[in-house]
Amino acid sequence: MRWIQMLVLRLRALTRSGAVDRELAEELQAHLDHLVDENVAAGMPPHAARDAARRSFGSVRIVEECREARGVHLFTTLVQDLRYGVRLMRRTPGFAAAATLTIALGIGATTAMFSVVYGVLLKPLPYGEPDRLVNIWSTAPKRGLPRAYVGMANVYDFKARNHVFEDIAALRAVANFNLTGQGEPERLNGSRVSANLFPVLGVTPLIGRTFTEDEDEIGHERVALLGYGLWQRRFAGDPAIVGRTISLNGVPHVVVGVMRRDFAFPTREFVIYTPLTFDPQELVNRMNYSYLAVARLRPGVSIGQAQAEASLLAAQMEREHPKENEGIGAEVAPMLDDTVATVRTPLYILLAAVAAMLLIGCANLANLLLARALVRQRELAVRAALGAARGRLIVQAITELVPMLVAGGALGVVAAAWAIDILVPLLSSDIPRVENIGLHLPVLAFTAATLAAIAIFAGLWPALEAARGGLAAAVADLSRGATGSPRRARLRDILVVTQIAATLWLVVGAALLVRSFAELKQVNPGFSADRVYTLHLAIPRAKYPKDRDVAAFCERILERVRTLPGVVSAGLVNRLPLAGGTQTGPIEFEGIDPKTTNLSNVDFRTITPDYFRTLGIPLLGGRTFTEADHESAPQVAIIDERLAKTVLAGTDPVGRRVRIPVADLPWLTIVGVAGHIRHDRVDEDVRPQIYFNYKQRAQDRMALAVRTHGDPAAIGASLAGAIRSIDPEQPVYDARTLDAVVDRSLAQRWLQAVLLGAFAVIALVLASIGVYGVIAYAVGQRSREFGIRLALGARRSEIVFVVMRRGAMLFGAGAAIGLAAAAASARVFSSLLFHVTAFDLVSFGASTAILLGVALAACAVPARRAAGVDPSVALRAE
Amino acid sequence: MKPIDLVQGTLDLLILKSLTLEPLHGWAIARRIKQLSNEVLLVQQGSLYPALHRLEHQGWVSAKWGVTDENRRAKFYALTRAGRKQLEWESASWERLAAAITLVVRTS
Repeated sequence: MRWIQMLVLRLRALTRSGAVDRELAEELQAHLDHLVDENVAAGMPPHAARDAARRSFGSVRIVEECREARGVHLFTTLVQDLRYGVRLMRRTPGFAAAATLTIALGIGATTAMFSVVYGVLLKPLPYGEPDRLVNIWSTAPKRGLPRAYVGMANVYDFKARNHVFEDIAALRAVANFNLTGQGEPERLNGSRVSANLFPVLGVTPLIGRTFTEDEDEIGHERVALLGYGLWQRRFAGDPAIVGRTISLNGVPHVVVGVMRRDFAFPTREFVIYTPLTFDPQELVNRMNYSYLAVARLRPGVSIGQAQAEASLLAAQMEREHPKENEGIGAEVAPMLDDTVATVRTPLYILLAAVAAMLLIGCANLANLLLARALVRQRELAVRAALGAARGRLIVQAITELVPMLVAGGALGVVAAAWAIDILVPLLSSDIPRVENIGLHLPVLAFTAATLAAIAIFAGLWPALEAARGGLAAAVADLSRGATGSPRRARLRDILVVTQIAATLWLVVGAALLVRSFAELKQVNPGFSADRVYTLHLAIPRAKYPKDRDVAAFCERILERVRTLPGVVSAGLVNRLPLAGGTQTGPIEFEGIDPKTTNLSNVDFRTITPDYFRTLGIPLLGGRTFTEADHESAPQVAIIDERLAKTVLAGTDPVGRRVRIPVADLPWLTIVGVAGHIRHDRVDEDVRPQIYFNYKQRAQDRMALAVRTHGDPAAIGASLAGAIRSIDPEQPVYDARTLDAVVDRSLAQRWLQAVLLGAFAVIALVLASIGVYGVIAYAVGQRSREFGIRLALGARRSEIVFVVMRRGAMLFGAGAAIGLAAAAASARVFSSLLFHVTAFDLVSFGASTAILLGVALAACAVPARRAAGVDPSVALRAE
Repeated sequence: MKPIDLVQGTLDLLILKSLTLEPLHGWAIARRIKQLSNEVLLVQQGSLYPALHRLEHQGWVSAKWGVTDENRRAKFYALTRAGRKQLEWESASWERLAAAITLVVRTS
């Protein structure tokens, strides 16, 4: 209440000062009238009564004092200072432009970067009380799985026994839905989710309803929820969609609702949801760890408490089911952390890089302001002599910056908005939550805080400096012809040292990332991506119910594709390398104790005979699959060289037998050994691989790879056409060259290296301006001295040496700090590096050399000028 | 006895105190203080109005235009809730101060 009154009054005093003054006059007049009345009542004649009243009323200062009591003068002087600032800007347009651009660059870069950090890392998830949402994972470190999905039996046990979760929902995040019937057939990325997912997340649909518990039952699951985007795009936002039937994978589903616009669970790729059903047998055999468990913590329960109880329950289950649950633990992780874990470090490093850039720019700005403060020394001295308070002069110096801060800030925010519009769509698809990036309120608050920091760092310092020392010092300075005091020189030195240190830190960071990326490009992934085109298809089981049907469909596709012009070979695989999908499981070798091999985590690949030839994966022994390896033929497999080496250690694998260790699955005879490939990531070699023939282990999600004679991209359209000619309802998706697939897997690292490299280049330019400015200024200050030295017989090379030495000293100090800072952040950097240590001498050395070169060049110009001083001119200049 | 000058800082307290009963305009506040102090304390207009404006800006009094008994337009000041609290606080600290000073003065 009180604050509101105070604010209202203050605003009124400020904006309506005329009215306020008039009221005051009226109020005082009323008082005067009272006094006159009193005097008349006491018996004075009227005019004498008025005079006496006036006399007693005192001076006009009363009006002034009232005005001050209203706290107005602070504002009016502020306005004066601002006007003065604008006038100064007009008078020195070069300075104003340089300062404004520096601020705009710094603000633009920091705002854009922080909007990414905020949108991706910090903005709360768009669910109810998102802080209480967690994911529950299985951990099986002994089986080489630090983190895995959970099994349904464990979910049920957790649900029944825990005291920390309000509820636990389960989903299978990856599900392919072929939407057919209305328009083009289209493959949709969807989730199969338990009905309680929506209450657990605390979300409601935009229209219709979410799933009911009954719909989790087999036989009732033919209902679907649409994502907002899909609804808009495919069904034109028609609200009558609820209740209509759509065909998913050839099975009719009734649409029960549409989710809200901001619902992007688990990520924005998912556009459709159906109920999660599972084989009740899973609760008995405790197999099939393929569900993502999402839980809501009870109010007041911390992650630590939840983790403690989850570990306890996992240990309980291990005791109760020693065979099935052996070595399986549980991990509880905040949902937001899980979502953004992979990008947190790189984003913070980029934000730090942008901050370093801002610091370097601010140092230039401070330098400019310092130089200007010096020029205005006389003005300030005179004003101080006339009684201006020191504090007042400092406030003024900062206020004068305000027009430039406002202009630069506005320009920067516009640039940031533009950068976000242009750059965010280019971000690789594996960066989570990019749809949240924007100029949200907290981002703008951050921008305002950054502007304030600039004002203080770049403005306050020179202001303090300019207001330093009394009149005498200022006048003394003036009489000596404005040589900067040693103190000021030191201040400038500090600025340059800061710039060099920050720049070197950035350049080293950029060098490390660029070198890592170069190393990454050197990695041989084990296959040849050159001239290969790929696309994906999800084969609907409703249409191709038996494995034999799927295999037959695959065979027909290959037959048709091989006839296309330009095709060298074509193959199908269930998971394409570096495309983001995996399928893994355990295997065992006949006659070898599975405990000693511990092969619980092997890539399972179902391929067609020509797959190896198409991807250029070498066959190192035995043979590849043939069409003769059909379902009733002897069961066969191909292992990769890593399995051959690690398990069979030199003995010939061909003829040995392997199997998936599940009771009724048969032994497979190894017929060949293939080269090992990088499957999940180029930078990490995760698992060995085993291959099955498509006629013996059919898979309904397949990728088609086609090697071509010419440009692989040219064949895309005819491939899709070939598949459509076989089955007009079969959609294809994720079609691109294998080169593009590989590049996409490297996109994040590429982006990091490019951004940091760009920041480093900008920092180099800014720092060179800073070094040049300071050295050139120092040379200007000392031109008389140089003139005298030359007149006394000094050689020009000596003068050059004197100037360069100063530059070298500054560089040395800055470089030492910068290298130390780079070394200190090694731990943070190291998670982003590949085959390069965080103390990589090449990166450190090359960066120092580059910066040294830039600094020397920046010093060389003023040094030559110093050497070129004409003694007679310099001495006569006074 | 000649009226004495106000002790520094007590004017706010006097003004707030004079407003406890009813809202008053400036002149009436001065008159009230004069009456209550048996004509010992005289508030000069030169200090009264700046003080009133300061109090208003601090939210301790609120001002409203009204009409006096003599049918004149005048600005009436009233105590706000925050003002009442402030008055309590200032009265208490004044009493402490006065007691302390009395103690010192009487000690021979």
